Amino acid sequence: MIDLIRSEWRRFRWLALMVAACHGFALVLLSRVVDVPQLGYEEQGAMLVVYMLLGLTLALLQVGSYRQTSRWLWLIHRPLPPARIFAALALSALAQLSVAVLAPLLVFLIATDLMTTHVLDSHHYVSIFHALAFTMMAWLAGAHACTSRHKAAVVVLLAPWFLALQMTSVWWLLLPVIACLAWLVFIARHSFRANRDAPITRHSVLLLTALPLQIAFFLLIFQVSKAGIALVGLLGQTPGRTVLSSDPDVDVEKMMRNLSQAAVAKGLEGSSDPRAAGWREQLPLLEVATLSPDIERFPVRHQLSNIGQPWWDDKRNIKWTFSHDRMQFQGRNPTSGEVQGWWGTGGLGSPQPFAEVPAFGMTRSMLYSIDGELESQHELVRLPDGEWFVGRPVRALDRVLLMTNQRVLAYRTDRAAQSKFAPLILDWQLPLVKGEPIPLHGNVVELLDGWLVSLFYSDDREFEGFESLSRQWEQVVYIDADGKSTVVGERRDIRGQHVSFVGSVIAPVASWWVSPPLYALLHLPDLLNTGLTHPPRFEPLPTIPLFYWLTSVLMLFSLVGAYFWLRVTNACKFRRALWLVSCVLMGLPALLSLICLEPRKTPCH
Amino acid sequence: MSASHQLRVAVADSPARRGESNYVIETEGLDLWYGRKKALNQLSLRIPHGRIHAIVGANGAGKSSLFRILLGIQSPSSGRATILGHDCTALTERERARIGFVNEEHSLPTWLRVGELVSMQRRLYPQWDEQRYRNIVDHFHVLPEQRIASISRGERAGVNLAMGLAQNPELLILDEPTLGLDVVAKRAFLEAVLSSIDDDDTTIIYCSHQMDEIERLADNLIILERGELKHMSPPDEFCERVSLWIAEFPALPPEASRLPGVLQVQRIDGLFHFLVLDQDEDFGSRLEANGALRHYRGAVNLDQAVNAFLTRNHSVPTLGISLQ
Repeated sequence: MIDLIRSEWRRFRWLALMVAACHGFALVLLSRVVDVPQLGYEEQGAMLVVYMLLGLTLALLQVGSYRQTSRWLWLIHRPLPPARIFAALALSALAQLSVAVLAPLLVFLIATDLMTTHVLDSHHYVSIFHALAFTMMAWLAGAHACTSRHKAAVVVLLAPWFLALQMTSVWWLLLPVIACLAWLVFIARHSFRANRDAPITRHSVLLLTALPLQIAFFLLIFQVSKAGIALVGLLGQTPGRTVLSSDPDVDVEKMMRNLSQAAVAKGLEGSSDPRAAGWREQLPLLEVATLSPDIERFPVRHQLSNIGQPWWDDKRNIKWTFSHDRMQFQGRNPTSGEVQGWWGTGGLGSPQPFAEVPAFGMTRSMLYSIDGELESQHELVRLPDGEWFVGRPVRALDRVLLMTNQRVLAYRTDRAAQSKFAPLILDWQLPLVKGEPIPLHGNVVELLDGWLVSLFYSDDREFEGFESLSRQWEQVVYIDADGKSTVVGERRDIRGQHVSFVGSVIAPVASWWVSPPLYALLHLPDLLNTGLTHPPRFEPLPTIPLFYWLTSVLMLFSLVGAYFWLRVTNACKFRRALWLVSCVLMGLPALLSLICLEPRKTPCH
Repeated sequence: MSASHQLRVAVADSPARRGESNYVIETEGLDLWYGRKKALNQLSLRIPHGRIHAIVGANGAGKSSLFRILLGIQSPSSGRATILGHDCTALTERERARIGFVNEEHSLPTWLRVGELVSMQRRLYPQWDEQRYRNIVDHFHVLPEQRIASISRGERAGVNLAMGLAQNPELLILDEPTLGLDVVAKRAFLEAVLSSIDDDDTTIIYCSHQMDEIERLADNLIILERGELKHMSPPDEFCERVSLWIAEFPALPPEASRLPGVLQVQRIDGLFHFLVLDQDEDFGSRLEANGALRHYRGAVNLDQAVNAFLTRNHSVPTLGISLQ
């Protein structure tokens, strides 16, 4: 086995060294422009994708070259069990990928740590092992595809990608990453056998091979459906999407400019409150502040990448970068590289570390303000336990408007206070409707004698491309000068307004209607790690009858398709029953995995 | 060594003593479909221990498919196959150690040097015979420090064969090993095979289109046609079944249907050459009865016999005229 490892190492060693050199060169170049360890998740995510493509390419070159029968025989026909041959290939690939991916990153980090004053935390060192783990996952998926009877098996890579890449601490992340790596090793090792076309014999192996395939198909089906909708949109059609105006005489731009006022006005249309008509007349003249839940989650300590980007003190030419190890900001002169001090919760030189990782001038439960002149920090608002901010503060209407997972809050500055950084005074608060998801957006209008707050509730984040089918509704609340709130208007099942939503942090997750059990399974990490990331991403299932029908039809179609497919296979009765149950529960993704994994008998039999 | 190989006498480590089958290869009702094409058709075959068995057949006869099934990298559509007494679908590393395989492409890791490859194989096979390896590889003048990528196809074939035989396998499968080799390399290859098997207990399955090679090497001739077993006997016996009759006709010869067992008719220098199967001296009388002015019997070699046998159903004979 050692010989085979050496042989495979010799085969790709120059390629690995060349890639390592290019990788190192690219990191050095990149570090001249940006602070590579402090890049955001989009940039570091892009780097991870490149690494994974490297892993996949190596698998296609290495294992793919053995697809030819004569080469396959040379590899497999030897007095070694296939598991050891596979282990030899995998270990040599690990060595090559370590050289090409891990070594340049490690050298880069060590050099940055020793030779510069850039912030470098322990999680950065752990992160590069995660990068290697994901690259290896890509290799395993590629190897699995090369030794499987169906090349579509490569999509198994999507399953660990979605299950393992969670916004949590890199230390906690080791659990799902190692689990997913082990899972892929298991799958790839069992597909590595002399007869690559033979069906999988053991039910347990089949189950563990089919499940990631189903997850991957679940994601693909939804993406394909979205691509289809986008294509139809390009052709000038907008099925399922709200059309704002089809009247050529309507000035859409003007309408869009006054959309907030129009939204509040429409919310008051059916109001029985006698003041509603007057408010509607005033609205075009009033300023409207818009709130939206633009923070899906706050960073946690030692998580991959950097959501809270460094901030600059332009006047003193200091870049403040948050260190997860010290839970303080480090000030650094980017020109000279000189460290200018550490910033705690009290400001410059404060020894008190942050309790949570800050981002956008706030933490999950605290809003603070920075006195640039005195280089000090002041706490403005602190939320009680169980409540967190879902959006950045909006400074408008002489107020600081905040949206949390439970309330809309309006604060005003304490004009009597000595310092302009004194804690804010709560002006009014509006509890969100219980049992509804966080509003898609809200509009706040200041009246002479109070406030109007319009909130749009909907579950359409799960219906990208089908917003008009979701049951959106609007509530308009009047808040008087004493802070007492009264519902003055409601519009149910509205189609006229929609706001497209950005989706989840890493990538959009497929909608539940493709397969409810797989949807739940994909969200399992979110449900499990509620204490590690905040807030959890899982959303309750929407209650739109059309989609329940659609799901039922897809399940039935899968069951019928599976029945006809299994009729011409050699699967035993128990296995047929397993497949049928799987197809009726998991829907279309299960049917596709069946087609990949269960070979049919030739038609001439 | 020639085709007159003696059947091996049972030795101490014989399969019979180990309680295994007396056949290195046994197939029963083997079927293999590729979509709508049948590659093997109810193939039942028993190849005994200890001889050189040649498998011949036209392209698409099912030889390579048979090997793929025997080596466990493909499942038959139906039927069963055993190799060295073991089910081909479940070969373990122990069984694989007893089976050598040399393919037509001589796929070796081109990124290694010859010496590195050989030392790798040496460690893999405990029964490695270094002397045997050297004896064979000497025919090809290959040096250990040479890169596999830089040696010729013939030299690669030599290294492949040397490694295959040095593993001391009980069964060695050679799948068209001389394909694409020049005359010199081919000759070196055959000499290497002959010199190595002189006093050896290895059973060799030799698949080739080169009848001269088979004539020199094989003790047993197996003819496959469209996935079916058509003939299995020593090559001499097969040659005896096919006879050549040369006759002169005033015009055209009679239709083939009027003459029994005709495999092929060729016109050479105005004379008609009839290759016939399983016919005795009576065939001459039949030629006379059909208008032959004169006739006589000629000698047939294996190449002619096998070619005639394999092309007997072709509408256009290889060199001659239409039977019509």
